[in-house]
Amino acid sequence: MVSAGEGEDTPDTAPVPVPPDPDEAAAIVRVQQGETESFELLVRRYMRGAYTVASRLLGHHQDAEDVVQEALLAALTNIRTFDTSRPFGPWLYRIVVTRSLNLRKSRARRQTESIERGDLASREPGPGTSAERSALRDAIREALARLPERQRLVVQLFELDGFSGAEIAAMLDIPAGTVRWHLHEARRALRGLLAQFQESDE
Amino acid sequence: MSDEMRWDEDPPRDEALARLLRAGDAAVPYRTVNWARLSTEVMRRARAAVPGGDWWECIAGWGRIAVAASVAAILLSGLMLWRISSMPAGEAVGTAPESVAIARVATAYPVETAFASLVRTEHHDEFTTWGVR
Repeated sequence: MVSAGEGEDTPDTAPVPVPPDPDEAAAIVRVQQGETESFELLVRRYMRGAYTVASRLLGHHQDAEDVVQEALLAALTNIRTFDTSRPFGPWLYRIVVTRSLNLRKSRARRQTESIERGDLASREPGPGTSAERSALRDAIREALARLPERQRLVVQLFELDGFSGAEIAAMLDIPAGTVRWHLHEARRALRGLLAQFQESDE
Repeated sequence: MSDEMRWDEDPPRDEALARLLRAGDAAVPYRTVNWARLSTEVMRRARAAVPGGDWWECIAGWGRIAVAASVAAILLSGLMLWRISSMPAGEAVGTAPESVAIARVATAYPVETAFASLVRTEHHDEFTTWGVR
């Protein structure tokens, strides 16, 4: 399970998987009984993971934050339909995916500004000169852009964000085996597209 | 970047690929998010979006007072009903000052005279100044 808000003091790291919280089911039951304040535990726990998913799909900070808010409120509104024997995270992330795709569809013509993806790369120590780093960034962007969207999303969520195959399957509403197949294909494609950088990387 | 794939369980994470992607174009901008503000805003909207919860809490808070007030009202009503039912017939109406005055006029004089007196009184009350006539 991917936690959301616990690591607020480590803002540039990916969400860290944590074991299920036994208090979580009790909190959900209280929310279902009308105790809205107990929802805060779920908000703090899952907003970070929700933001990760939305950001991957939308590529725009403010849109991603808006979707996180809307998805959490939608989850609260529909909390009575939630089966407490199941994990809350994938259910919420599925709402995030649906809302993100709807937003993207409705804003298809809007020119979205790119999120600050180059920022992190520029802070990390990289091999060679800045021109080489720039070439690497361009190559990786191009390689990711050439992947089918589902493969790109799967490889990012799995390799970078720490989601499990089952969680990705739940949020995309596809079988876990299909997720692993997409991951396999994405890795194969990236290996071919980034062969020169892999050699220098290893 | 090994790629031995099994379809029934997740493969190990490919650290080399992850490192490469991070160096390029794959970081989610966590630093741009004010997490405390975001959770506060979500909870503010959550409280507004679920008026049922606040309404229920409000009712629950007034529950004891409402029960006590209801019991007091029932006791008071019962007492009043008991007093009225224990009075002799007609006494409740007859004790009102206006009723007593009308009854006296009606019984002391013929009906026409009494009626004319009452009507005239009403007329004078309406059109003359008190105490002049």
